[in-house]
Amino acid sequence: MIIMVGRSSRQLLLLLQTTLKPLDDLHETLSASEVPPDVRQSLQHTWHRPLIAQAYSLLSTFLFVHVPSNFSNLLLDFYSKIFRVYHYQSRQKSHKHDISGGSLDASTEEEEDDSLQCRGCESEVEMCQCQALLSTLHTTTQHLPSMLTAMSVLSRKELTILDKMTYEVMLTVIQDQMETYIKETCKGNFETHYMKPLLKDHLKYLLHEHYVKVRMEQMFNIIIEFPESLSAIDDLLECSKVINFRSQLISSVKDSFVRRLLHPAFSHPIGFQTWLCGPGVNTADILTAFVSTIKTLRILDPTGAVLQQVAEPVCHYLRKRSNTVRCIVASIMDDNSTDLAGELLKSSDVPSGRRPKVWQPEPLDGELGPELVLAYLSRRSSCSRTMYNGHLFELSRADCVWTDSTRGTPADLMSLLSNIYGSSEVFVEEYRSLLAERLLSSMSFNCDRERRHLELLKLKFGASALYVCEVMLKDVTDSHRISLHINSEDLLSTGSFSPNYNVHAMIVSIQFWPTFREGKLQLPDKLWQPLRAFRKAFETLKGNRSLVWKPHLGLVHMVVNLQDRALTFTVSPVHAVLLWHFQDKEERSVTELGELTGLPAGTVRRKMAWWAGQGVVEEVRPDVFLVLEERKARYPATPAAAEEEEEGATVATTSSDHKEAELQMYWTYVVGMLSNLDSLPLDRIHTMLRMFIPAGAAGECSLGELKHMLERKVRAQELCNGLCEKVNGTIMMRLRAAMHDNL
Amino acid sequence: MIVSNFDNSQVPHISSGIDLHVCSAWMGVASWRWLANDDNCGICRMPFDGCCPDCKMPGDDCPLVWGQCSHCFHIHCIMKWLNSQQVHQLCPMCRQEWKFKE
Repeated sequence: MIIMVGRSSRQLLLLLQTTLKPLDDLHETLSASEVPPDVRQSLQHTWHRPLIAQAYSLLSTFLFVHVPSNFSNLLLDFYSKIFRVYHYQSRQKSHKHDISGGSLDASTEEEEDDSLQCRGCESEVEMCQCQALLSTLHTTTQHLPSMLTAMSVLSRKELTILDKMTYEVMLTVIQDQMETYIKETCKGNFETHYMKPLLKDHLKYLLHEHYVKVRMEQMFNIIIEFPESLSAIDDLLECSKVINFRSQLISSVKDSFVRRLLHPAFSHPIGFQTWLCGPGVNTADILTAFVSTIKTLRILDPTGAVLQQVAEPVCHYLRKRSNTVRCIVASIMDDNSTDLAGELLKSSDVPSGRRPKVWQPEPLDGELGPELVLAYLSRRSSCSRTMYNGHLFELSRADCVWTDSTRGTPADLMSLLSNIYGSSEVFVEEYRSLLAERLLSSMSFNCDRERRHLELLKLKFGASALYVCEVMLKDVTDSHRISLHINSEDLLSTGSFSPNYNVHAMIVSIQFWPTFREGKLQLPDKLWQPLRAFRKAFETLKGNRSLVWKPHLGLVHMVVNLQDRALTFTVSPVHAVLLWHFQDKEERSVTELGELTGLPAGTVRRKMAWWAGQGVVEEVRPDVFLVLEERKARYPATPAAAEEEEEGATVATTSSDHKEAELQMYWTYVVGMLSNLDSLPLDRIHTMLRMFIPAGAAGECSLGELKHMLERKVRAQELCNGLCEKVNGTIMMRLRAAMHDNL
Repeated sequence: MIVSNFDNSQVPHISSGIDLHVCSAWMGVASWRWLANDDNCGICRMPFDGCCPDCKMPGDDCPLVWGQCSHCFHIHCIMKWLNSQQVHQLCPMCRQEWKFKE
């Protein structure tokens, strides 16, 4: 270190001299006086450590400040010195080994050396600093990663500067060294190979190791910025050929996920509302991160073992979130987020490189039905990935995708995501409800895209699971045909009345669609007439079949003509009907409208507020609306703005509603039990429920869910939770006396 | 101050009240149902508005038939029943002789 400093610039020398003054003094006394070797050795031990620490802190200080112009020279010096020492020592060792089998120790060897200079550090043999220099190198390289990290935290620029510098310097050093070495050894000798032993893996290894170390700490960001971070991933992939960092990778990704995404937001037991909007990170964001993780790790570790380890906690967490499936399905169906939709399309033709080459199916516990074997066989013959996926999914029911690590095949993304829930039913159910919502809210009879999605999903989940959805899509196309037919035949005109608009109906097979949101809406007779005519036309067309209109669902395209403007709207029937009533009277109150439409006042107020927002009506007095015949200044001139109505309310009921309905079924059982047995502890009720209700009939009801439901009943005063009669710590459930009497 | 560059002649002038056209379409939602005197098929116990166990698609693909006794079934169900009867072809509900309603 001192030698290195001695050759550096004056400025640095000054700096170092002030800090290393005591060491210099010590050094001088050491070289001046005759000190016995054992004392010198012990002294060296004592000042080695401070020297190293000093060097490290100095190095980092001037890295953090400005990089001086001669810094690279200094580094070059340092590295070439160290390299020479290292090289010399290793040669000495091999030499020793050749001569005496390693029996002689270093000191005797040095004494035997006739030259007065140590060939390593070019100083006198007596004060050879080879050892010191070497250990400095080791500590520096050991500290390098932590330095790099610290610096990368400060600024990334400096990291790259350091990278560049050391890289260049090392290259020069290595080149120089190689040159001299080659000159020395290969002179005139043409009979032996020299290239292979010339390659030293050590430096390469160190470089890779440090690179991996730094990158591992940034793994989370690499994953989040996935498509942009491809070069970093490629570098890591390159490193993985040299060193094995799999365990670091696993722990890094796992830790950062737990810390940054998977907040324990679900400490409280199940509650329907909190399920839906639990705190913490957005489910969609977690999913995006998860998808990126899968993609990243698929590149880094084609065997899928790392992914398996990492995915486990994420899946476990996502399983607890009720809107996970909805998010997944929504992003599959959403054209804008190409991530999952693209993946879905892609998985049907995965490039052969990604396909696991050997796949040995072991007979699993009875789950391997004939169709699966068939699927497997057809996969073998045609190598169709989709069949394989379907297979993999089926196997997951036997819980072997996550447990069987020996297979280690990378499941494709869709399978992984659908495996979060372990079974296809939840997934399909959610898909069905989203599909219904989509079809009914858009009211477009063009469902090519949905059909395409359905076909792809059918390959994954099997046609039988999704045939309900197929019926839905068939309904849509049939409805379109029937509507076109009825409108073209002009069947809507009845007697004197003929509407100036078309009626299109989405005619659904009620058994196959999710339950619709209930709603009542009274239509004025003039609006009913075309619908009745449509029904009549349908009856004549189909014979013995009739239609049941759901007037509150659907969409109305309409034009509102006002004195100075005409506005085009696409609104829900409720909005249309409300505005319709303003035709014969300019000013109407909320109560009036409520009576005319049969809607509750709150709904009327909300819908009228929307019209007011569009600048069609104005609330002149509280709860009284007046048509704005002439545009007011504050409304922008939008003569023919086709406004899509934003409506939070969903058309179809969601799965949580289903769950609630299911729990309602349990409630009837609970009432039966409690009226016979007076009071029961919670777990007893649970056991009895499980006994009475065959598994799979209506989904499982966990103890937590049951507890939650009963607690709600207690709040609704239908049940009394006998806290005062806590027996052995169990809460006794008892029907309220009043209710008991009624039963 | 409103500077209106809207040409009034394009819009029919209405003296009072709002003029509302449902211009292109009323896109309604409806469900279809069979006009039968029962909800479920007496043979397969599945709803008429669904389909019989052998069918996938309800409606046209799995129609209902009425007998002269006024009972009705999925056509596939009653055909299966009638084929299984050796001697007399009886309505499974009222045990009268089964005759298709004209």
